[in-house]
Amino acid sequence: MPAGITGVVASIRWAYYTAAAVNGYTVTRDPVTRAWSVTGTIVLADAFKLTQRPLKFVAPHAKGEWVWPIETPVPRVAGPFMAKLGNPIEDGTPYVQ
Amino acid sequence: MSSRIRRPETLRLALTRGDWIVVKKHLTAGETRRVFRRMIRKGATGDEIDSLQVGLSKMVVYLVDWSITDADDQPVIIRGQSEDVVADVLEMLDVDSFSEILKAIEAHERTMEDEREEEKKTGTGNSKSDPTWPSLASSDGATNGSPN
Repeated sequence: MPAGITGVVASIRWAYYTAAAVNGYTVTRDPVTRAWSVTGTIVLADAFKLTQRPLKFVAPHAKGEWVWPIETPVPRVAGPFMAKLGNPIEDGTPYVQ
Repeated sequence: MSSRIRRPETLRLALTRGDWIVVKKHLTAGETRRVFRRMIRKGATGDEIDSLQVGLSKMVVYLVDWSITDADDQPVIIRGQSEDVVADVLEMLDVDSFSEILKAIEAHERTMEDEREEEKKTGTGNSKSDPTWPSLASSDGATNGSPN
């Protein structure tokens, strides 16, 4: 997985629900602290689901999805946002028990 | 007080030929209403049941993921897809597979109904949700109430 990812379409998920649709995002990893973060624009927000946790940031790619746990609150309305992310979760079925 | 909003949970149900489906453990009120709404169509004399949607509407709302592949053995992705897309995919299944998945979901639904009835009798309620995020009102500059 690359250390920095820029994309057009992503989502924020609470379990199997889409809590928000994200347009134009950048995921970066701080070279010193090794911490992941994301910036982007929320275009569709479910105000209730965005208050729940755990939330995950999901960025689709050609063979599946990159998934990170979101570690800080995100706004519950459409607009720009920034959030700290945990280490990426291996692709697969992250919400399947 | 008991929580009346369940944490979203899934269950993996085994099918024949080594396949599996992942379904929502319980539906929410909104999802339950969508099952019924998908079965309704406008008729000459008002709303009527669309028999083609019976069963399918339930499958669409319950299904989260599965292991089904296409004729080229490529995974058929339904995870994260819209209900309309999932409905289109389900329509392409062979009759026996469609029937098998529907039966599995209906059996699961009955099991969960029994579980909820048991919860009511024992008063155990449902599991509490994880804590929610704190309000952003204090961190994003929003104000609440009169400044004076």
